[in-house]
Amino acid sequence: MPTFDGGHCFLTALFPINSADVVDHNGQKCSHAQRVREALSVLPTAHQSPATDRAPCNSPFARCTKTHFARFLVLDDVIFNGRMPQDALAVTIMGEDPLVPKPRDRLPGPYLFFVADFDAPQGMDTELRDWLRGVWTKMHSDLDPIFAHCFQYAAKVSNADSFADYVMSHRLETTMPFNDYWPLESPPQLPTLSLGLLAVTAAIAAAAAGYGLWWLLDLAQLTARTGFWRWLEILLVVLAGLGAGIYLAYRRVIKAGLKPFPMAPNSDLPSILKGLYLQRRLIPKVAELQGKSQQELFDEMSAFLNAMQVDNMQAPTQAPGTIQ
Amino acid sequence: MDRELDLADIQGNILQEFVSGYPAARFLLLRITDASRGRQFVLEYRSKVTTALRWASSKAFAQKIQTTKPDIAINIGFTFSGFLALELPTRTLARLPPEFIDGMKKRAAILGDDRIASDKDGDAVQHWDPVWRTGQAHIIIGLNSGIDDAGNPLPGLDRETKYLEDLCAKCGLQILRGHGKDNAAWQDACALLAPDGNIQMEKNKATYKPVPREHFGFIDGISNPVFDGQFGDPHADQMMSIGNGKLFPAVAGRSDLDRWAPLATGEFLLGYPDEAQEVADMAAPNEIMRNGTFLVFRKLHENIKSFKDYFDRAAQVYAKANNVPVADACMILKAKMAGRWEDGVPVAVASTIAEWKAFNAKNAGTLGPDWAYTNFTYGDDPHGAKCPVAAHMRRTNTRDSLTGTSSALNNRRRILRRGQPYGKTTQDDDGDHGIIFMVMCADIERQFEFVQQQWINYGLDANAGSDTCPIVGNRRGDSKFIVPVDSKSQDTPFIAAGMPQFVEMRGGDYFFLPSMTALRMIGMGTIDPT
Repeated sequence: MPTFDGGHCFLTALFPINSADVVDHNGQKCSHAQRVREALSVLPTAHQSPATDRAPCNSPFARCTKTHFARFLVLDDVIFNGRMPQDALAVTIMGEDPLVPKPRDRLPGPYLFFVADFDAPQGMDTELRDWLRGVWTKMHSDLDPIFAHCFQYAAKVSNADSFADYVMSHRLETTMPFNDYWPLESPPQLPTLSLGLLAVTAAIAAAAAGYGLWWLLDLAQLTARTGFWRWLEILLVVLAGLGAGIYLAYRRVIKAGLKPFPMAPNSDLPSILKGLYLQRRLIPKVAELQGKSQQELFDEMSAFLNAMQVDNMQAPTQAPGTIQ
Repeated sequence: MDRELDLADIQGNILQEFVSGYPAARFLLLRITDASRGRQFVLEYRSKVTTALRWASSKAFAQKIQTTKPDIAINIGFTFSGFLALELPTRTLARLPPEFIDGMKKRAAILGDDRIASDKDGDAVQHWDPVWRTGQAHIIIGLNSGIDDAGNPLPGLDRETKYLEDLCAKCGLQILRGHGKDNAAWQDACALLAPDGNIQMEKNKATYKPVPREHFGFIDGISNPVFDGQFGDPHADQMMSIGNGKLFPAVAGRSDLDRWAPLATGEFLLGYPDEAQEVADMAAPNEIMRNGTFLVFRKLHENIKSFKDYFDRAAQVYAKANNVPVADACMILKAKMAGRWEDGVPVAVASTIAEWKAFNAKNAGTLGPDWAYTNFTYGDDPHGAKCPVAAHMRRTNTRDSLTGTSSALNNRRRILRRGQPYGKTTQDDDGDHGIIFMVMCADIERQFEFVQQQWINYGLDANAGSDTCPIVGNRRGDSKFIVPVDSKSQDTPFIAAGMPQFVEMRGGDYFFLPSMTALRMIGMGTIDPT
């Protein structure tokens, strides 16, 4: 499952935070990592939970009508979870000294971690670039205090294009995105691998590899042997064929798995917001109309649908950055 | 269970509810002023505490009689600040669960107690009784009493109250005032009473018997979890677990009754394996927690007038929309929201007025340990066409609703309910009437708080978005409840909108109910956590 999936881009990017020196902040020496955390702690959260739904400011990402989800965090280091368990007998037999510490992985320094999920119906890098340019344009004054402490940001980033370049050069492949917009009742038509076809492909590969090896052995005049050696040759040929068959089948399964998930209908952010807006207004309306006559129903629902402008995704609609 | 529980060590109200045997109750909150004298109080009062030893009872499965039924049954619980005041070792205190240390007031945001409709300024406790508002309580004492023919508590209740007052005076404990509107020194509660039809000839007075209803009119407390060891022998536990225990997937060719089994003891008593097949982490030493459990105490006020007015109003609309008599519409709406008809008949079994009547004709007079009221599942009704998924009973005890086949996602969210009405049933919202709602469970956060936060005050698991429980949920302006119908039928779903706050908090806290061994250790000051 790739970075682009289901009509969305699932961006993952890692930025090294400067760790070489300290900065002076209002007369206090502090590390760059501290300053990044401080900047993140005052970045407003969306109005998305009882803890924040009455906050005076919304998340700056709410200025963008493509962003479904965005999150920053500081990754200090990889977690060391103690030594790998070992068999005490094996350690003794191998003559290892259990008091000697084992090597452990570390990150060279702290990283700023940035993930975002936004509309990218074509699944193309140009969409990622456009989104990044938009983010810069709409919120660079919010981003500067965070990114200013990241490696080479100040030197490389000065406008929307250079910001897009900077982020794109720090991105990682997203291997497991989560896209929840397909309704349970109408799941997507996914391409399936026919088990029979897979078996036939594997069998052809197996036969070709087996025959090829046999031909090579024959060419080297090694097939004249009898008894044990003869059986060993046959075993080798069978194993080579089997290995080739399994490998080809594996490749086909992985290749099929890498195909992006199709985009769910109306799963871009403006449609989602319009959907939420309509849902929140439709239910009270239906409740109000229960028990009314057919004519009243017709009249009131016509007026309601006209007012809602169902096909207009731009207005009236729910503001981004609000979950109610 | 292959080994019997040490009944003499476990407090009596955990294994069985007291309401049916003791319809009246009195709750007192005490404050310790001196640690040493507080411990003396615990040690002396310990001899009064009722244990789980069995006495002769009408209950079918309580066969092994070990003691006589006490006149007044007594229980004791402690808040975290109570343990602090008794100077339990820091190593013990530090390992107690965070929510217990917080106490209920601090958990208001999690419990949704700060988001009820009348709370305009976000002050979670402004409607609480003064005694709970201050968070001063160290100890709760529950006195449970029978009633006489006139419906009054037995004289023993006042006698035990006097004994407690004297002991508190001797040991320097304050009995905290501030219950209800009259600043009372204790909270009285009593099952609702109904004339039993007999007239005492010599006194010419009607006599009363307790009925298991609450002020809105529903029969309450029908179903409660059953756990391993609760009824003394494996056969009894198995029988009682039908409809009340945990549910396994159906196996072809086997009786549906065999799908049920008692829940793990550790879900309700500390020191035993729970449904994750592990013994939950406990504060040291083990003896201080083992055979104990946590008590959640909530005084829930019932807005009787709002409830009645709302259903009168909504029934008019429902009747018109569905072309049924208004009286039937009222009954249907209440049943769809509660998950049971007023008389306790489960909506999952009888989903229409006709089925309800047929059920009653078939099961007349069998309310009690009868499987008809408890042995049902939701697997055949995934969208709630019979019993709405968001109905009070279905969302709080989901049975097989979340998996469709077993109760796997419900087993770790079960709570023992020990509710008891207080006050008189009136026609008003004002006044002091409601339910003393008590919950017992081994892990307040995982069990009670989860149910309260996720299943009562949020609707996602019931496919109901942000809709809160139609009966006890908090309201944030635009409350609604949808009565679904079978999508293959011609019926129209009904939206019940604009529900007011039916139930409101009047105070409560989290307590620990220690074992008799732990009470002795607390009293003697011999808790060694090393």
